[in-house]
Amino acid sequence: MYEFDYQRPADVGAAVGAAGAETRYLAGGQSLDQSMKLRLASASTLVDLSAIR
Amino acid sequence: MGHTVKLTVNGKEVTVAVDPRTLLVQLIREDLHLTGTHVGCDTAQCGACTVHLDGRAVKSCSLLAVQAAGASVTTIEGLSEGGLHPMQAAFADCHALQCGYCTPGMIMSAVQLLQDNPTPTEAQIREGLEGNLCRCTGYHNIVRAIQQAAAKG
Repeated sequence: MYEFDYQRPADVGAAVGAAGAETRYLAGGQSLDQSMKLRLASASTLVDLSAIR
Repeated sequence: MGHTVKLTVNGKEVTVAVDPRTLLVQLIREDLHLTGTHVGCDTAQCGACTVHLDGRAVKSCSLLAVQAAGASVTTIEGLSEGGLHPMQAAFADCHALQCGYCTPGMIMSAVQLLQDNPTPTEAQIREGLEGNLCRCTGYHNIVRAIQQAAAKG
């Protein structure tokens, strides 16, 4: 996996604020985590949406 | 580096500093030395790495450790803290393992299966185990073990 910065914002505003060309949003990760492991996908910032209620 | 993950593993609170790339299974095996959780395929197909995350069976090779922050994780070691779990006893009784590599994941999935459906049919058991592979092809006895565990309630 390529290096990335991980964030888990608590609200939608913060998640939107993290948007950028190299940002990927993480829901459950069952596909994205695997793609990143295989280096088929990469992100400079990974924004985990699981804390947003 | 720089991420501190706090989570509960088998009832104990742990705090581990991890690189964000660390997988949950790496934290469990390499930081906590709980090596009952196995890595088989490392691609989410085989289910050897199955653990319970907040009571749901998940494949810990497909989850970042940071994603599990704040959660409660149960591994195969946590199932057997008061002696063999009834599912483990049933696997032993029914000879439901050959090499044993898939067994921890099979048992974690089987426990979840009976939590969701305490009286499954054989077909439902086989469907419920579709995320777990056994290379020794020991499926028949695994299904029998789960039927026995279900019958004993």
